[in-house]
Amino acid sequence: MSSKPIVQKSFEQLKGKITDYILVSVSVFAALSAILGFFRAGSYGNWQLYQWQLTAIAVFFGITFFRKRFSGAAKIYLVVAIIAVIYITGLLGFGFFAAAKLLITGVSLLVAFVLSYRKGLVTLAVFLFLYLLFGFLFSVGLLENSFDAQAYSQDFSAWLNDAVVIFLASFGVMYIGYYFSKALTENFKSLENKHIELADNENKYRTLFDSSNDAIILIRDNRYFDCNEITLTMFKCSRDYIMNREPHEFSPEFQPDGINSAEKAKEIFNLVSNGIPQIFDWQHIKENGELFDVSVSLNVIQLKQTTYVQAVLRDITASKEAARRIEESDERYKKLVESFPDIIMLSNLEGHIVYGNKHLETITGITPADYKVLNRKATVHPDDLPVVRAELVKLLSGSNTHSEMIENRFIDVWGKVHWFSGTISKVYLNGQLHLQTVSRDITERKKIEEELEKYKNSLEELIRERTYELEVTNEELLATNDELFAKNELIRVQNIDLQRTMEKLKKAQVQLIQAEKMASLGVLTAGVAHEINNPLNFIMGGYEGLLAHFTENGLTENSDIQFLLSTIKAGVDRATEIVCGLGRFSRSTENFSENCNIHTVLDDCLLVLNSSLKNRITVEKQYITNSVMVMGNIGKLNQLFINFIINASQAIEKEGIIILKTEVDNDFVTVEITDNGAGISAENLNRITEPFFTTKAPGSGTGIGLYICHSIITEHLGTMHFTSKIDKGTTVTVKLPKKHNA
Amino acid sequence: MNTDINILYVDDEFLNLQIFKFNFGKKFNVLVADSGDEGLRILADNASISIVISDMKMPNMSGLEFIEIAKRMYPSICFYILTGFGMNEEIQKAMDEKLINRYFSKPLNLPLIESEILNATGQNR
Repeated sequence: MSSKPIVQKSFEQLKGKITDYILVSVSVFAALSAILGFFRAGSYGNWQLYQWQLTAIAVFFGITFFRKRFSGAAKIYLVVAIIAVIYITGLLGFGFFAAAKLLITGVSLLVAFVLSYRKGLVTLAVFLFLYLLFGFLFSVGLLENSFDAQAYSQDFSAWLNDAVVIFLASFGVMYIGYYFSKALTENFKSLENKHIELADNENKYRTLFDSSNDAIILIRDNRYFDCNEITLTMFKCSRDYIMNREPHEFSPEFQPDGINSAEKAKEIFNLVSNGIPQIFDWQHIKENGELFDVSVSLNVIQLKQTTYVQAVLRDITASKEAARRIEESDERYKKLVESFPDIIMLSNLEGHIVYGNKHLETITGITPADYKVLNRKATVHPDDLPVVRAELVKLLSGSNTHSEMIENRFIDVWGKVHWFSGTISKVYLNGQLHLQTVSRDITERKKIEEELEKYKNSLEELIRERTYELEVTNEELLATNDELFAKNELIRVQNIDLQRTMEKLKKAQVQLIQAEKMASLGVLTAGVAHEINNPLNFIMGGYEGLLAHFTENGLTENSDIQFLLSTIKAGVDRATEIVCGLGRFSRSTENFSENCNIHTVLDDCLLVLNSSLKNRITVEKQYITNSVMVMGNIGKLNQLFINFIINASQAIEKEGIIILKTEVDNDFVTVEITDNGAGISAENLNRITEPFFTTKAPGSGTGIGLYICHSIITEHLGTMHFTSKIDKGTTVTVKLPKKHNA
Repeated sequence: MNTDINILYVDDEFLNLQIFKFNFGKKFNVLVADSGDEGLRILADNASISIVISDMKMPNMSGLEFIEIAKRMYPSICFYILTGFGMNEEIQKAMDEKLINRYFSKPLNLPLIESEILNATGQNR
């Protein structure tokens, strides 16, 4: 019972205990009182009363003996009832001198303490009423003492009896008082301890709360309600910035995953309030506007019937940055290894490949699927296996971190043999020994080396052969040299040919240009001729009409009219003739089978040149009487003769004569154009048909006129010939094949 | 004298038409048209036309184009070209294909045309 402080037991227990102690002590004193009562009953002869008292005491003993079987209240009621019996019997027997009246205080106190204060008052009232009732009965004489009061007060047993009762009552009061005070003291002490403990706890939790590295926040109705100091440090803010605000109000509008912060927060709070704790990453804004990442853990907690959400925020900006750096570094190393031109491979001691860069696959064909396969298809060449094994054993048993340079053959998955050159290094990965192999494919180099070796061996032989060959070649070269001389000569000749061809081409070009010119002129003159022919038609029609009119009226005899009509007719005829000649002259067909009357051709030329010849040059026609026909192109023949006549006229400085003479023999028509002009020197005479040869001043002659004439005559299968004497004149003789009228 | 011979003359020049009419009007019955289209209309209205003489160069429809259409519709008519151009390949071709009987040059040669007309109509009869 002393192991625990009294206060920790219920008050009811205390009451029960006090009741039981009182029962025991009262029983002891009741027994004492019964013994005393026996003697007093003998002295005062009220045995009846004594029997009552004895019975009551016996019942009391019974209750005390079976005290564990009764409830506290029942025991008190029984005790009160028994004391009431003793009290009443005492008053009946001894009246004012009854010692039992001292029990009033004890019983009332007991009831007040064990049951209730009110019941204690009622008990006190009942007992006082009984006392006063007996006092009244004695005072009116209804009851009277059977003994002498004087003697009784001098009887020591009465005093003794009173002393027992006084002791009993006083002891009970003191006992209750003692227990109460003890209980109270302990209670206070325990309260004080509890208080200290509470304060301690408060302090402890507050320290925990405030010294945490994580922000701890209490959230009520989705709003920040309370937070620790680190929260403010984390947000770099005052309390006002976050208090009574919803978390999304100091978050960016959208979280890094693109979801709206307000909606996301709402969803999370819904889940938490359904009792599902949430752990997630979140982005917040500090009061200075800086963004930062936190890892958030949310839990529902219950404090004094209020539901809160407890949030623990950890700033993970640094860890995110670290993760990013690691990723970057990872990427860097990966790039380094992947872009390395040689094979890099990591394997463990069991022969499993842990990692290989891309060249491992491209060169050997070993894919990640083959990494854990021990008898791979791609392997070291069996002949080189001992060398590689020896190096491995040396590396693993020695203290060197890497092997010597190993050159070995390797068969790839496709069966092709490579030459590898590389080293194997010891590498510790997660505390485990691994082997790192760096190999370069030197197949090409090996091939070249082998070939070089071969070359070296056969070089001397080769030199001997070559020396001989060189001697032979030398002789051949001498022979070739002679040939070259001959060829050189040939080339020179060809060169001359080429030059000739060039000249021909040049001539052809000139002809083309001239032809084009003539064609344009042809189109022009044809158009003009047509336009002039219409007005000529008007005049001719008018003339014919007038002639008919004058003839009808017999006026043609009038010489004036005759003269005027003939003038009109002559004018029209001449104009018609000119236009006709122009038309013929300008024809641009390539037809060489036209019937050409040479006399008409010559006349047409004179017609066209009339204006430039008249008054200066006399033209003398010495045509044969018959018309002479030639087969050819009228336009070109016109061009030919007009050129000759112009040349003749230009040779005549002032006044002179040009003679046009025609002759015919069996096969040819001959036309001679003779002038009495300046003549041509003998040396120039040979060159006059060369293109661009001219003696005229620059700008006044192209030098192609006679060249074109020569071309036209050649086209007509004819010839031309010049005879000339300086200051006497020049004669051009043109011969054209005659057209046979067969 | 031969006014029962009906001739159609087609030319885009007004004066040419007038002069032709003046010079041949007393000998033949001359109809004139200033375009190929007009010529075709007149041919459709006058079944008695036996001679057609046309200019060569006219706007819209050339003389040969006109004749080509007309010859297909009236194969019995004799067609002639009267042109300021000299002989050319087009005309040569038309003559080879018997589209036209022959061609005359401008300025017109009255006796030549008249004799040809009489010749043609005389043969036709």
